Amino acid sequence: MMSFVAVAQLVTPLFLLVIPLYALARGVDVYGVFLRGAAEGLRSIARVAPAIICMFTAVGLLSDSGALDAAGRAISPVAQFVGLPADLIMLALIRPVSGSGGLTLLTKILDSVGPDSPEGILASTIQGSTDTALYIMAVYFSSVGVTRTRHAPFVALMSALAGIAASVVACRFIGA
Amino acid sequence: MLGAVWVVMLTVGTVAAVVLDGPSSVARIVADSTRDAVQLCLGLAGLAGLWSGVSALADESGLTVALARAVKPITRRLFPGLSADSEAHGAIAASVSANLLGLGGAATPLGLRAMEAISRSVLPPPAPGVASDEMCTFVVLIASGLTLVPTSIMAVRSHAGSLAPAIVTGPLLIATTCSTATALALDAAFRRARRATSTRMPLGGTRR
Repeated sequence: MMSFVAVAQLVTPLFLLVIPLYALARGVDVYGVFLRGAAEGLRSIARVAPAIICMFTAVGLLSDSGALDAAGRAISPVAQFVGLPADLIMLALIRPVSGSGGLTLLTKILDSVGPDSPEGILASTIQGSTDTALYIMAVYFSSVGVTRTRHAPFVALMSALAGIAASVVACRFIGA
Repeated sequence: MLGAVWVVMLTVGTVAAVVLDGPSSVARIVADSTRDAVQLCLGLAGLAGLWSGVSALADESGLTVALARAVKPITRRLFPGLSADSEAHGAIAASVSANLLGLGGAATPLGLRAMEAISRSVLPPPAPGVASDEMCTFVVLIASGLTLVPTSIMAVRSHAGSLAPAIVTGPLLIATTCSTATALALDAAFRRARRATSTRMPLGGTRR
C-alpha cells in the first residue's frame, strides 16, 4: 500500500512536467493557452464564491453557536445504544456538512484515543468514507447556474449514510 | 432543496447562537465564517488558475482527447446523455482521477471544469437553472468521496503520531466503494423512475 501512496505523490510533479513539455513539443502556444485557461479557472471560482459564502455562514452558525455540540449530547444515549462513542456519531454528523470541521474533530479524537486504536482507525475511516457532500453540491451546481438540484441532495445523503455504515462494518471486520 | 437545507441551517444556527451564546455572538460568528469562506476562495483561486491552465494545455495538445478515448467505454455508460465526441468525457476522467489519487488542490478546479463541459454537451439542454441527469450523476459521484489514496487523513494520522498512517486504506476502500455504489445505484433508480412516469415531460417542466 505504501508504494501506491508513493506513486500518488508523484502525480502532481509528473503532470506539471509532462503536460507543458508535451504541449510545447506539439507546437502549442503554451504561454498564451495557459493564461487563457488560468483566467477561465479564476472566473469559475468567482462564480462559485457566493455559494461558498452562503454555506460557510450557515455551517459556521451551526457549529460555533454550540448547536452541533448540543445535538451531539442529545444523541449520545442513542450512540451508546448502537455501541459507538458519541464523538464518532458527531463526526458522522459533521463530515458531510463541513470538511474542515470534520478534520478538526478527527484530530481531536485521534489525540485523545490514539490514531492506531480501534476508535482512532474507525474515526479515520468515517472521515474518509464520504466527501463534504453539502459543499460539493453547492459549489458544483452553482458553477453552472443550477438552483434546482432534483434528487442529488437525497442521493448524496443516502450515499454518506452508506459510507458511514460500511466504515463501521469494515473496521469491525478487520478487528479494529 | 438545497435552498431549504440552507434556510433551516441558518435558522437553527442563528436561534442556537442567540439562545446559547447571546445575540452579540451572531455578528462575530458570521464575520468569522464569511472570512473563512473568502480565504478558501482565495486558496482555490490560485489552484484553479494553475490547474485550469494546465488543463487547457492538455486540451490543446490533444492529451484530453486521448484520455477521453480511453475512458469512454465507462463514461458513456455512466453518462448516456453525453455525445460520443464530447469534451466532457476527458474532463470527467481528469476530475475523478484527482479525487481517487487524493490531489486535494486539483479536485475542485477539475470538478468545476467537468461541470462546465457537461453543461455544454447535454442535448437537449435542460430548462435554465435545472440540473440535468448527467450533472446529478457527476455531483453525487464526486460527493460520494471516491478515494484510493486518503492523503489528508494520512497527514492527520501521521501528525497525531500514528505508526501506521496508511492502515486505513483497506477499510476506506470498502467504505467508499459502498458509498459510491449507493450513490450510482440510487441515481440510476431516480432516472428510471422519472423516465417511467413522464416520458414526454421535459426536464424541469411544471413539477418539482
